[in-house]
Amino acid sequence: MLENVLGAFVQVFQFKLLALITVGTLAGIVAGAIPGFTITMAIVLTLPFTFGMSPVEGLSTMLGVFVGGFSGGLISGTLLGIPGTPSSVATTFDGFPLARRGHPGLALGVGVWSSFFGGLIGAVLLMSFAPPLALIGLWFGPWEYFALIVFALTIIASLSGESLLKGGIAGVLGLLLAMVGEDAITATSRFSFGIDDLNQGFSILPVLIGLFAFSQLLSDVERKEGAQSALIEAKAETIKIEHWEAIRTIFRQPLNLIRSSLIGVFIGALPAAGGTISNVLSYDQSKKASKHPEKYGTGIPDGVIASEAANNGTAGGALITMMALGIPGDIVTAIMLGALLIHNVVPGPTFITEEPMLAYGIFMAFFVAHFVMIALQAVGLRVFLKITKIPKYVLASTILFFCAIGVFALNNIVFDIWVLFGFGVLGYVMKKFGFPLAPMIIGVVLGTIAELNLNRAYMSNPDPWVFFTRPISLFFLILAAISLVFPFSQRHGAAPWVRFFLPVGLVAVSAPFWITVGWPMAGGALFVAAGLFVLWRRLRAPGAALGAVTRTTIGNGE
Amino acid sequence: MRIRSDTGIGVVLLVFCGIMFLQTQEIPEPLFGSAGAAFFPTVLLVLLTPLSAALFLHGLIGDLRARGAPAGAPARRSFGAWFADYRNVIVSFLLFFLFVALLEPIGYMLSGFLFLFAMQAFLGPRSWRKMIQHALVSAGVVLFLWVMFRWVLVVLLPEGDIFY
Repeated sequence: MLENVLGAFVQVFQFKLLALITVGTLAGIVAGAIPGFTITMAIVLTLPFTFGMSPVEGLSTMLGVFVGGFSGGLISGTLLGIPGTPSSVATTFDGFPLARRGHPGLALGVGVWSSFFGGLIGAVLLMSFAPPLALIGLWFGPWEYFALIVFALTIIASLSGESLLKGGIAGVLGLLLAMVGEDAITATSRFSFGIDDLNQGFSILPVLIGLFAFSQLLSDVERKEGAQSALIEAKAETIKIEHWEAIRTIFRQPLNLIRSSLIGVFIGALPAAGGTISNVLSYDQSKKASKHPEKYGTGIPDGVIASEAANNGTAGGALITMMALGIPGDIVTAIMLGALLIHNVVPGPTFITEEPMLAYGIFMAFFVAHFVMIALQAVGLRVFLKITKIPKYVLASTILFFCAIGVFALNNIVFDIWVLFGFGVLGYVMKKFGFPLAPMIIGVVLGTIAELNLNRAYMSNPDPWVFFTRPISLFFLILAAISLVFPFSQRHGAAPWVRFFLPVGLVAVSAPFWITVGWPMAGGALFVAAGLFVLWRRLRAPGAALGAVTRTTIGNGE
Repeated sequence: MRIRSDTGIGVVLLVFCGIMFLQTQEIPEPLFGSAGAAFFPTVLLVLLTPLSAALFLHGLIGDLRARGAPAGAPARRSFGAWFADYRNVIVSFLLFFLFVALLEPIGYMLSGFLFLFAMQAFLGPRSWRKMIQHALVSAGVVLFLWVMFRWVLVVLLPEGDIFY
């Protein structure tokens, strides 16, 4: 392996390849920073340029776009409150408030460096554990995927802000919106109300930008005097990107960084579960593990670290399944797979052993792209900080126009701009009536995948009991139940039942391990032991109520 | 400034659930072995309906308590006051609506310039100097994006019957 790594090192550290990675990363950062211009679109537009290149050159360029795109999404998310890509949705929850509180330099610095460290962790794991990690993904059937999505959907409870009821309604509405158009199994059109354009359903991009961008931009210009002020009221020269402070902040919470990166890599390694899920899931887990969950959403670096480390880790995870199994982790790796096939290279379980130079060249290019990204961000961020000095009304008008054109460019149909407009109105109205928008977005994103896997599971075996007899599926369903009850335990921190919540949860998580055979049963025993230990400690300290937190004020992402 | 009328929203949501339930009846029967295209939406509607009813009841209880409350409740605002609060937002939506409606007849260049200029002129300070600045910014943004999309990214932009 070391020989292959050294060979790949020599291969990648050539001027032409480094230049291609740099150009790709720059294009990715710019594309990611533009609301409405997805990483997928940038990768698709890069594809024709790679035809004339060697496989490693083509893939290196695309990896640059991939890495740059993930980190670029945080720029608009942090400075404007509009996630450049769905992978940076959770970054806005804390990055934007942090910037608005007068720390744009720290918010961006934490985001960029978390992306860097998360990506590096992903790259190291990609190189070291690609085959064994990808094997876990191979065990997943539709039951496991559906259970995973149910678990991801319980995040809605954490994102519901002041009203769980309104958060739940917004989440289910989002899922219902994803049902508009043809279903993935039978191609039967639904809820199109005779409008032909609705037969294909809503594109995710206009819905996302409409809900987020319109409501945020129009809230900014609601008041005349507010509209004519700058986004951040501070002198440009006083805003500095606080690199060292950002690195120190990240290193002060290594657990958050490592956990988020690992979540990102794991989610990325699962086919069809990409950065869109990982950044929100990681944010949620970070909040739950935090000693001060009530501060999440108010502008603390912890949330930015969780989201950004996870989405860049996801890139490494997605490459794991693509390289080791030939299964695309998401749409971006599917396009990369296509690029390899154009060059008569077929990734699969034997790919790494048969084409070690190419495989390790790609691994190394992914690694190097992160260093290029951090260098470009260090220079480019200064330019982006100037955006905050432009009056809001100029910025709002320009971004609305830009979003409209970006949305049109995706499918070249004006209908998508109407969708953008419609969801813009809906988002603004919902926000005014106190509905959180983040659950709705989660619902829209996960709705189609949830339905597809539920239908597949039904077609394989209509017995719903199967969800509870398959260990991994049961594991995710138990996690979902715990996740659903968790916000209540936070709100009722002083209630007697709350002290039993964690022990019972730990014992419950052991259940899937008992229905397996062999060594996993030891894992079950560990969970039971941990649960009993926690219970014993809590019973010994009757006065200490679990969770000093009384009320969650999680950011709604708006 | 948050509008509190959960009762009304609950009613709207319940009507929405009713319409959607009726729509699911029009979805063809499932093929052999498939759960069918109506299955998952029906599950979601079964979830949404009680949630909507709960919101309606929550709002109703709140309204009844407010009615019983003594003086000090906020007075009902006039339409004029409400419009003044949301004028910027309503006009922005209207301008965006006109921009999209005009996009295909008059093209990207003209509709884009008019939208950007109108938005800035309405929301920004009004002076001759500022108007010239708004016009220059609008023209610059429209041209820059046209060059970026058309020539750098090779993406088509909407062409109108009159102009690009």
